[in-house]
Amino acid sequence: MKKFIKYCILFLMPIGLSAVLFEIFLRQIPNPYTYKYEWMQEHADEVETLVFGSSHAMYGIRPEYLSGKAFNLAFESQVLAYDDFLLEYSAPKYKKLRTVILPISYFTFFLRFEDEPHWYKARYHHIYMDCKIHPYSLRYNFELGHYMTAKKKFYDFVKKVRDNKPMLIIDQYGWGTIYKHNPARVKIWSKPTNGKKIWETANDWSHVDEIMVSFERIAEFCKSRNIQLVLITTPTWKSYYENLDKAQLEKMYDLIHEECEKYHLVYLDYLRDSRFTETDFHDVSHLSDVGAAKFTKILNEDIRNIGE
Amino acid sequence: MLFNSKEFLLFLPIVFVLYWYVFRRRRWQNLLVVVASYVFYGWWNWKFLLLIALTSFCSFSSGLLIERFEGRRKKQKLVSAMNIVLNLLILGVFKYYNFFVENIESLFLTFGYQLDWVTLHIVLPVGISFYTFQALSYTIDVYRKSIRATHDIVEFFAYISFFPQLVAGPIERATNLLPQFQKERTFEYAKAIDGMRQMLWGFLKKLVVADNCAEVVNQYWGQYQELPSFSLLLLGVLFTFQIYCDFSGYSDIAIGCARLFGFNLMRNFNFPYFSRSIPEFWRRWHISLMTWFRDYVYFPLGGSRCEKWKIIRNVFIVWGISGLWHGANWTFVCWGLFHATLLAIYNILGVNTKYQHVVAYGKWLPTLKEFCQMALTFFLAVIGWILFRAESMSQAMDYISSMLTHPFFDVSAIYGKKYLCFCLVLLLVEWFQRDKQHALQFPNNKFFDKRIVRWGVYYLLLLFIALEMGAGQTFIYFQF
Repeated sequence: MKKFIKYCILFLMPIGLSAVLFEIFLRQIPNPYTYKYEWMQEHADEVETLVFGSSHAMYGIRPEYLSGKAFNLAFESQVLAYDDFLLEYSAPKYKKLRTVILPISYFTFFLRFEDEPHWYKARYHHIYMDCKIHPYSLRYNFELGHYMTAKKKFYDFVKKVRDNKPMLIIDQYGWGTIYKHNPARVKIWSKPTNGKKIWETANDWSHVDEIMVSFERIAEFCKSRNIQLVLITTPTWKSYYENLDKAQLEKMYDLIHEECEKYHLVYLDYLRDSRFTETDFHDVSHLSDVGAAKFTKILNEDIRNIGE
Repeated sequence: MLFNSKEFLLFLPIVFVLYWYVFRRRRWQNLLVVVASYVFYGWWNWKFLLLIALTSFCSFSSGLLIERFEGRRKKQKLVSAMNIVLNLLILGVFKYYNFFVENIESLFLTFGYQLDWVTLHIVLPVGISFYTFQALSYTIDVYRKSIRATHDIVEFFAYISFFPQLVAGPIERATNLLPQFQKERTFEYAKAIDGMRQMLWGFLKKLVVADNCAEVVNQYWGQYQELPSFSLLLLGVLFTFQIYCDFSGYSDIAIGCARLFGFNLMRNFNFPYFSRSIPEFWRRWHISLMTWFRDYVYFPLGGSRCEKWKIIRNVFIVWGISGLWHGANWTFVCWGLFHATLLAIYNILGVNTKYQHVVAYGKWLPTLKEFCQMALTFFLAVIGWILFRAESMSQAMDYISSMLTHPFFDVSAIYGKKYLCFCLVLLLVEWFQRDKQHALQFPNNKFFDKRIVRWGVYYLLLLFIALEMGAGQTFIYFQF
């Protein structure tokens, strides 16, 4: 028995060591989370506009086209609890922050980051951005907490080194640069009858109250600091918005209007905006680089008009 | 809890250490097995623990009653029949209620009657078919006096819920497993090491071959109407390997895991794709279920010791039930009847009892005849698995007719080439190890006797798993 345990430990030691080294190596690979965290550490006192939200904002809003010093703090699948964390994290440093742009997507009030299918993205906030929402979870505090994406990250790194491509997929303002127009992706849901359920449709609305607490924390924070909170919904392609669940969409609008009244907020809805053509989209719900530039200019103009 | 989960990576060593270091006496070890097994099962849904407990309690009580009515055969029969009916009723409600209601409704509808029976949203408890059959085997064996009824409720609960094989078998017989709970276990180094090797091979099959094949099959199966014949056949082949590696991988992990705790579970797979006939295939595939049906259904019906037409009738009855056991869908029933037809044909041709030994025993390569026989058996198995994989009978028929009518080949529509290579390598390894209990057994091999070689092989296999493992899929047989 002792012999068995001894050899098991001996056998597992190199595996454990390899896992530790692999974890350390993965953390050294440049990534948008570290970049944005460090940027905020250095420039939070200068920033005038911050953009939060999910991939819709990360790839859809280009801070270079916004007035003043602006930065995009959105990440793929990021939801309100994490927006709230990021906003408050640098609170002591804000000196010039005047505007917070908070995108409300179709799923924002209904899905949590921790749920399937994208829970694994939440661990990057914990590892690279000092987030403590799940401080003791192995799942959320290690790259190897989700082995398949850790493996993919390693392969992507090797591929980028081999092809001599840049490691970061964002520009200096935090905007995600990789979404180009992709006709095939825009056409994926072009048949309304294909019956494919959009993954953002929630099975139930059991998390709404919990999510609204995060929203109200953001609203309270902005109110207390006299920061203008602008709610927006980014443009989507018709085969996306035509296939949304009507009840969920109505509930989303109801909640937005309630909160707008409560906190005197401005809401700009571009969901069905006809100014955006097929070439402005990367896929049905994400803007392409061209679409993002176009949208940000429109958004900037609309925000300025609010001010006036 | 899944074998291929992080929770299990923690669970197994904890239970192992408690089992051998803390709970060293037999009764305490049995109690630990029950607690650990209930934690293992309850991790998925604790509410269904009540169902296992109920099944276990009823079967345990029926064993005691059968013993109490010693000499009064009618009463013994009544008790065992009641327990069988109760167990089948539970299985029927959870597994077949909706299937039954939907079919009755559509039957009446064809005659113009509208029934308003309610279909229920019943969650199918994981592994219910496995532990129910295990419980049934105990009652029948006690009734047949093959085994004495146990008076120790803990050891009986441990027998029904033993976590390595609780949710997907092997379906253990009371005559094999229960006596192992009744005697002291001592740790055997060689047995534990062999168990670990078998687990490693099981994980390799599941994580690398089955999960990767599953990704390809799941992605393209629905597009069968647009694919050429060769691609459809290839998808069928990939599914054939997927289901084999998924299920036999689970069995390897279960058997290996049980060996760590000093138990010997029955063999469940014996390299079935090296079979030379369909009857041989079924002596090598899911052996625990096939022998269960043989002993408790086929033999009581008369087995093979009766007129030819009765043998064929018995085969069809057993395979109809076997198909239904796999799932509440006509595709499974048709899959069972498809194999029944093949078995009947082989029986008529007189090749049913041939080929007891492994193919090309003592040789490197099979003869041309053996190779052709294996290829034919494999092809027939693929056709069967297409029926099994289809979501409905119309899809199955459509798929098979597409294989016959679509253009034969399109080089741009060949999917999963890499994973097919994995399958072929796996087959090659298993071919050379086909006379062993599992593919990583190397008795009397001087080269493998050196620790550095053995460990090198293990590390290489682990590295291969780490690099090539597919996205985690649940085990296919969990749904049964």
